[in-house]
Amino acid sequence: MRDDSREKRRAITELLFGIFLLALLIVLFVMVMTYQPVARRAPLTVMIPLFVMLAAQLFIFYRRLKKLQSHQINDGKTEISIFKTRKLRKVLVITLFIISLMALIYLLGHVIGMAIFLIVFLRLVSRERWVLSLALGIGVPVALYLVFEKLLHIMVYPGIIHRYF
Amino acid sequence: MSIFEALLAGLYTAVSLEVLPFVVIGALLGLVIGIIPGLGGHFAMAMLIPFVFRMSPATGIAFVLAAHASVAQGGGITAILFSTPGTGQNAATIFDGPPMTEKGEGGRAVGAAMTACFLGALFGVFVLTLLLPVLRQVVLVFGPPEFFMLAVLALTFIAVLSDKGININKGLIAGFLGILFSFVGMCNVTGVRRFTFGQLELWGGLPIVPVMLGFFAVAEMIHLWVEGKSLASKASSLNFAGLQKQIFQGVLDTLRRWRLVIRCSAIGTTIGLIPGLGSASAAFLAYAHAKQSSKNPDEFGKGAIEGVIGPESANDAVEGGALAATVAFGIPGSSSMAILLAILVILGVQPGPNLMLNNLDLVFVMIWTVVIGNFIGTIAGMFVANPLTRVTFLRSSVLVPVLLIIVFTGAYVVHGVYGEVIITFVFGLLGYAMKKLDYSRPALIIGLILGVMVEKNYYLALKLYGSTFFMQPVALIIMIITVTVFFYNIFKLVQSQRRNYTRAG
Repeated sequence: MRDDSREKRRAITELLFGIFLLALLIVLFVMVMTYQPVARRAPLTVMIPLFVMLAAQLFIFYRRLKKLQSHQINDGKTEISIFKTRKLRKVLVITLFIISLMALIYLLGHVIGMAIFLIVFLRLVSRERWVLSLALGIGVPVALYLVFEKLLHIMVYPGIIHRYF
Repeated sequence: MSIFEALLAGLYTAVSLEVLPFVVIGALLGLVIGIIPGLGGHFAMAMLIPFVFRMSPATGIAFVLAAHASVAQGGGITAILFSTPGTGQNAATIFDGPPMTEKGEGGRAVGAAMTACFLGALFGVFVLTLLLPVLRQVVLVFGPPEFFMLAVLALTFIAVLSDKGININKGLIAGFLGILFSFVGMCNVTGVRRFTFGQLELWGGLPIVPVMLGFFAVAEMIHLWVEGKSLASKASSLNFAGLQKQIFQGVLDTLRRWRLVIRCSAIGTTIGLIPGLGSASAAFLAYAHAKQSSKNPDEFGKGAIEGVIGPESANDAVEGGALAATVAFGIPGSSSMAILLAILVILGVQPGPNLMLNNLDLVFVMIWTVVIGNFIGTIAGMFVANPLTRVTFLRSSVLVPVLLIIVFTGAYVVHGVYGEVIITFVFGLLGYAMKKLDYSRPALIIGLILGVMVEKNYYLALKLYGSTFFMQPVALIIMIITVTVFFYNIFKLVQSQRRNYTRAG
């Protein structure tokens, strides 16, 4: 039964991803119809078979899901939600942290943003000691700054905060 | 420039004071990356992209190729000592490497693996060197119809012959999606801006470096974070005393089995020529051959040294074959070659016929870099295996955030545009989803790289030869091969599904 639940979660995830790709394809199709004929020839040549393949894949996922649902023993308990799996929670956590990293970089610039991100992440999420968190949190951004700005003469992003100082 | 002149010029450049230090640093970095399970050759190359911008073409190519060349050595060390392949191409070494370690012969296995890797790489580049005069003539025959069909063949092969070979439809979806993404930006025929969503940053197309970084580096980091809490769990119980003495014994063992090395290297080089098969396939095929041709096949799986030598020779010999298609035709056969192609373009070098005809010395810089990089990786791997393995103790909870900030810094410095950091993130999520759901990432990346070439050559072929352009002799042969391989694999898939259905019934 545990295997069935895992299979079902997998089938749902596949279906959702397929639907996402199909939605993206539809948006791009609407856009491409506004271009001149020569410009839309190549994209349409690719989109049409892609649409057929995606539709076929979605049909396969849907059938698999239906099959799994018909096999599932209904014992009256609530079905396991795909959002309650440990791995998916970990994916959501790391995604949120990456978004926060991007926001920190955008606002405070690379060096300060990275330092704050590393110290917070290592200390609170990875539960490392303060010494290691601070050492890496300060050392790595400084090292990157030295390598890119001083050695390679490539500027790192200064952040929105730069406008005010 | 003749082949011999280019060979000497390439050697002179590769060992120059400007290039050689980067070869050494690249090789050592590649060795360390290879040792860390979950990070492979394509990750090493993607991570180094931001650092090559200010380098000369020879230095940049040498830096990245040297890193890629030594990744397999690092992966072999962890495969043998910790039963954890550092990279996918070392997976076949798991069968006999760890059993040798359990018998107290880990050092011997490491020495044999390192030597086999180096000899395999030598064989691969030797074959590439022999092919160069032939390829130089062949590329002159190729025009727009031939290049178009070749790109279609490469994409079909990648989609159909991907590492897992699980789902041809998914492979094709990934390939077509990659080609569709390549149309973002200005149409190179009409100048119309396509799929830019009003964003100035997309006028020039999807920037390849942030896409690569997201697809391979960020996706791997997400995967590492989700899956791994410890990269190697058996280290504390192993005794590394005496490792060094055994390593030299392993070197001699490989040299004594030179015929096996040559045969397995030949398998690897041939596989490398075929887009989509990958070095993991070469390693497994070579393992199967080593077992078949052994006088003691029953020893395999229990610690037979041939079971280490075979796959390790093959997985490094793949490079020579893979480089041949990439530099001659500009058609990458794997993710690593796609990244190399992107790097060549970044450094202002146009891959394909132009490289073969006018920059042959650069091709030989690549060849010599593979040799020197492998040599450094082999020597370093043998002498510092013991301390290097401590890298596997790194927790993913520390490694992931550090590597993430390096990746996002790299994504920004390419063009100094913050929007590319967002592109890296988006493709990181897409890459992770594709990895988990078994869509072929190499197919998408290669579609992205080849898409522009496909459209341009399609347009030119139509203009020059009309709608029957595929009837040109060479183009027709390539098309027949493509169609045959495609339908043969469909047929095999249908047969295997029927067999499974019959068994279940």
